[in-house]
Amino acid sequence: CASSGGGGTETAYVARDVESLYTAAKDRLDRGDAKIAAALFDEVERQHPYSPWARRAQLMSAFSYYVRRDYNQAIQSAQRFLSIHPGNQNAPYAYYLIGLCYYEQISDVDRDQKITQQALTALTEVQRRYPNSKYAADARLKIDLVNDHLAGKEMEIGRFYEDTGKWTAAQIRFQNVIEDYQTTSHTPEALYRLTETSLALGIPQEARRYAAVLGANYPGSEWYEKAYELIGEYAPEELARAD
Amino acid sequence: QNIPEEGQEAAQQPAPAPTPAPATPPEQQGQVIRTIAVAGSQRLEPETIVSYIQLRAGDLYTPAAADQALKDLAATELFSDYRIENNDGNVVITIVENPVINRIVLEGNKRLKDDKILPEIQLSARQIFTRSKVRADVARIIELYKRQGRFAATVEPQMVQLDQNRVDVVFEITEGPKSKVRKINIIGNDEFSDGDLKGEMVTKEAGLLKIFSSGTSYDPDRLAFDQQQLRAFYLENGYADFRVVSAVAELTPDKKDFIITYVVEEGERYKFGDVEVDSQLRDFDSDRMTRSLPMKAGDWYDAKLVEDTVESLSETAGAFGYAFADVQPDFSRSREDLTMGVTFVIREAPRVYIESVDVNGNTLTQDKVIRREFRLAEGDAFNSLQVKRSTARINSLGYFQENFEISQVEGSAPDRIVLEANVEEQATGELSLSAGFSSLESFIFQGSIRQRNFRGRGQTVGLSLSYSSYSRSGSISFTEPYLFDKNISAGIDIYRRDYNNGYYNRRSATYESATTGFQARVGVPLTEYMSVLGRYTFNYDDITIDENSYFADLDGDGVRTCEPLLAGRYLCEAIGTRTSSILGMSLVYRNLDSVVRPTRGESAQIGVDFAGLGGNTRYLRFSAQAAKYWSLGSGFIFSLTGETGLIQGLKDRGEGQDDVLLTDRFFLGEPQIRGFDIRGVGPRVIRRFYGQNEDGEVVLQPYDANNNYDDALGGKAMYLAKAELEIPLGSGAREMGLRPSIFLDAGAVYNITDPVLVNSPYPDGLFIPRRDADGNALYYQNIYDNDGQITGTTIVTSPLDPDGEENTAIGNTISPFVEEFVGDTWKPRVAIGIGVNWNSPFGPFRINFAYPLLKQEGDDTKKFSFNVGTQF
Amino acid sequence: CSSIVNHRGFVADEVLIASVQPGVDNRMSVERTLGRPTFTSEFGEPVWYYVASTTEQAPFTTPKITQHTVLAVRFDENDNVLSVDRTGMDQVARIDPDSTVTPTLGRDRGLLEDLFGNIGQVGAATGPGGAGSPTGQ
Repeated sequence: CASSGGGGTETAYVARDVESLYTAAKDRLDRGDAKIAAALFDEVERQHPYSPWARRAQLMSAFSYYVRRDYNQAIQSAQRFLSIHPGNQNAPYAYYLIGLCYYEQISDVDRDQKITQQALTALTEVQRRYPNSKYAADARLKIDLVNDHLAGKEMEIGRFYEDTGKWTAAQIRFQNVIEDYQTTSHTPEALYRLTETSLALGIPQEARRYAAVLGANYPGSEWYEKAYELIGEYAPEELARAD
Repeated sequence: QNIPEEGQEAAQQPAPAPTPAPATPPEQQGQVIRTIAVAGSQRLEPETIVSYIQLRAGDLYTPAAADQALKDLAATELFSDYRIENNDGNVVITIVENPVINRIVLEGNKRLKDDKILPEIQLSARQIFTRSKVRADVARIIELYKRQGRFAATVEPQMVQLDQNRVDVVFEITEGPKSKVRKINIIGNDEFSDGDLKGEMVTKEAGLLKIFSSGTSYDPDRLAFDQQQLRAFYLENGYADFRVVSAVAELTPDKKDFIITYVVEEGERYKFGDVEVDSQLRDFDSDRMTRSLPMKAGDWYDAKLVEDTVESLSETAGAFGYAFADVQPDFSRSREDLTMGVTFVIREAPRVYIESVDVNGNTLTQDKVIRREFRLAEGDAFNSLQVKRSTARINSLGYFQENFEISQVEGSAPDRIVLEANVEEQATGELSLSAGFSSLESFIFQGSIRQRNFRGRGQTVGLSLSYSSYSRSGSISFTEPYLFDKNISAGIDIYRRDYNNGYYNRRSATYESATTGFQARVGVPLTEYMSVLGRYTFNYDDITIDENSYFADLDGDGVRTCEPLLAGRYLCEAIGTRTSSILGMSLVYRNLDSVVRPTRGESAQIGVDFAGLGGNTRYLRFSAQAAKYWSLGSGFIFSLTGETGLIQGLKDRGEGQDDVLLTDRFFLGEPQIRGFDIRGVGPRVIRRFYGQNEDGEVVLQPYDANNNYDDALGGKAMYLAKAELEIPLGSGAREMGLRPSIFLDAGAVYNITDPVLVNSPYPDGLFIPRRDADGNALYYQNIYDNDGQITGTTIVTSPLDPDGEENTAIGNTISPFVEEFVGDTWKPRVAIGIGVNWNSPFGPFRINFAYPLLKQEGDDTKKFSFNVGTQF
Repeated sequence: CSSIVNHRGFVADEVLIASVQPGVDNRMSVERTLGRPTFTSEFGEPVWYYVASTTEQAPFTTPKITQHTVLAVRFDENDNVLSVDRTGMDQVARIDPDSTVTPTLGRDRGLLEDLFGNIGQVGAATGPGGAGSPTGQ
């Protein structure tokens, strides 16, 4: 059957005219009872699918689920809205809401990053479709944060390989960061780590190159000082050679 | 010309394709479109509908463009009817939107409930109704019934029109009878009997025994599968020319069931011709591989053996880094001398390297907890043995789904591969409450809470409490398998164990031993399968006895000492407090496919513990365990486990006393050996009282009379062997997680110094006088009033009252008994039984029925015990 | 006592390595004989590195590289092999990785939260202001 179970008696099949149903849902939401509000908005859509209210009710039900942190429901409602009204002027908001729902479920770097990937695709969708909508700016900001997070995961794995003596694997992981995430806040550390791994793998000339790039792009950073010290300690002859 | 769609048309016959509007009259060809308008749209916005078609104002209006527009509208499946007209430039698209589904109703489904069908169909409430989805759902429901063997099921979709262009979809289902396979005949098989061949097939003949089995319902796909089974069976036995001429299923006259008839042509039996390996891989030397082949010329031909060899060759290639080595058997058949020559060709393949190791699905467990179990990392050469080893190690964590496999995904280049660990996390918290009923200890409750993946860091934290009428114990344990991210596993247990036994009478606890202590463990791997474990244990034992019922001052020296007559000599010797500080070391070899639920592999452990690093107990203890598991195929798992232990006291504790303390000795009983009670096996002292036999004479009661007292003494040597065969049940039972097994346990505990026994003579037993503080015995003395009546008594110390009358002595008499020392023999106690492991909805449940075949005088048996736990 | 020996990285095949000559081979021929490199240089002139090492792990320690060969293949602009040089254990340095870490979005979860809260909701805590309610009609 149609309306979500949690709607309580108030929403069960009570055929009511669309205004009273919608306003009932609206003030439920304003009073912070998002659970009932979402069910009521769904009811509006079910009983009066063709009224203009139905369109807004779909979006409001998605928002209520979002307020209640029921992210999957929110995403489903928003996607159903977009499948029927792709051209609607509120479509950017629906895409943005989906992006947010994924974004707020991102778990820390030690855990699975599938949700982070989904957040990235949803937010890029907002930026690509509606570049100058007011949601695009916030989407761009969040995209950078998400990329930073993904880079953080690569760094975490790279450091694990370093701690367990798998230097080749560490080098490959840090090079991933340099290649895919060079605009994130982890790049200086990645360059420093590459200096470490290159020295540990016996290719000091690479270590010097990474340290040089680190110095050129992030002269003041603490990572550059550490890299410089490391080269001085382990491959002093490299310091002398100007490339 | 468009036929307006009625609601009730039958879904089976294909809905008439809506005929596109007639092409517009030719002379308007090439007119420029001025405006595009949409008529009849209720729910969808006009701009959305326009966005679906390519026509735009300013384009040329041509019949082709109109046609294309109609096709686009049809593709969206949003409209039940659509027309396009053009009156000189302004194009009007009139559409009727498909209704929205209000509710889906299923009627007539008895065998398959709604919650089984609804998730399988596409249509759902608030979706747009489309005929193609209805057709798909009808087919889907029929498919569900086919799988249940109901081939006569039919589904009638009905549409109930509602206001505001909404519709209720009702599926009327008539299930029809379940068609069974009544008989299977096979013609043309002379080498193998019908019975052998039918055994190979999945479909079984219906019969009384097979009421539950789902194999008896007729299913055409299963028919095809059975044919393959027949072919495989014959090929396995060398009949390379075997052919299934025909397989026919006819309805029985009463049209309810089916009769299946196979006609087969066996052909001749083949032998292996010459067999060799032709390897084009650089470091794969062909003749060494040929020598290692399992078959040689002249053996009977066996297709399965050829398949297994292909498997093992590609695995060996994988071990050398050739992940995608392609091994193909080339057959050269000669009909005259009936031989089949096989050449295994290993084609050139690039050595493959690991591009990346990814861990997905770990929402709780930390990435490194899984990654540190991987034996391969980025940049390493692919190695199928290492991948198998990594899978086994990840399985041994016990946090993930049962049949976890590392998936190998094609990398970004032909010589790159990505290893993915897609894990599904299971509940790793265990709250287990176990209750057992035993003849000796009545009800035993044990509860333990354990979290095997604490904070997702792979650490194990456990708190366990156990309470029974005889023992109470509690322990906290913590284990970190990778201390400081190195290969060091460390753990610590802190525990308190109280054991008491109502030595004399069952209710009051009279003898109590309290052990408090801790054990710290450190383990380090030596090789891939071998690791060494060091442990230090410190125990503080305090054994006390209920003084006022067991202490007496027989010899009148004013000091109450533990009276062996009351408490038994060895108990008196055990009293007191002591500390023991034990250093132990073990060598552990483990090569199991999973520690939690092993089905293949072996493990062994030998250990030595020296008590004497300080503390006042001195002993040396050796212990060894070994286990081997075989997976016998199709679910049968056979396991053999063995355990033995030896303890040697290092400090002589005086004559008549064993130099190993009671609490340090080996005990054997439930749960280690099934069919026996807790500490039910091994040397014990039984105090047999006198009772009446049927014809009234007073005689010593039999050993296992339940008001006898028996107290297990344990032993200095122990061995235990267990064989268990796990039997797979039908798929139905397996879904419920039922795993029955039959087992045989044999073991014994023996070798302690004979304890000195005490007896209370028959018939009048023994009188133990009560004494006052300075040791003289006490008597009741009557007080008489002046006319000689007794009005009360006083307690005096003289046996006679002033006028010479006898006073009555105070004290208690012990009824007569005979103490016997039994059970100290190495002869094995054997029990055989069946048990069922069931992961019931609320947790693992183990129930055992065991029958002791061989037991010694005095052993306590227990035929039934169960253990239930819950997981959270 | 004994320690666990592991092989990491490229499987060095002496015959194949010897067959790669500067001036004779180019990028394609090297890829055919040795396969693609373990990793390539990120900056400066393109160099292909084939790294093979054997590590030993004594109890209580992390694995240490005990045998090591690096094959560095340099190419000129039109992809011909400029030079092939091998370096071994002598260049290997014992590095103790630095412990400072660039912070990431997810905050460290406290003990109690581990036990009872579900996984740290990174976004909710730090994401700037959630979505406002839908504007428009």
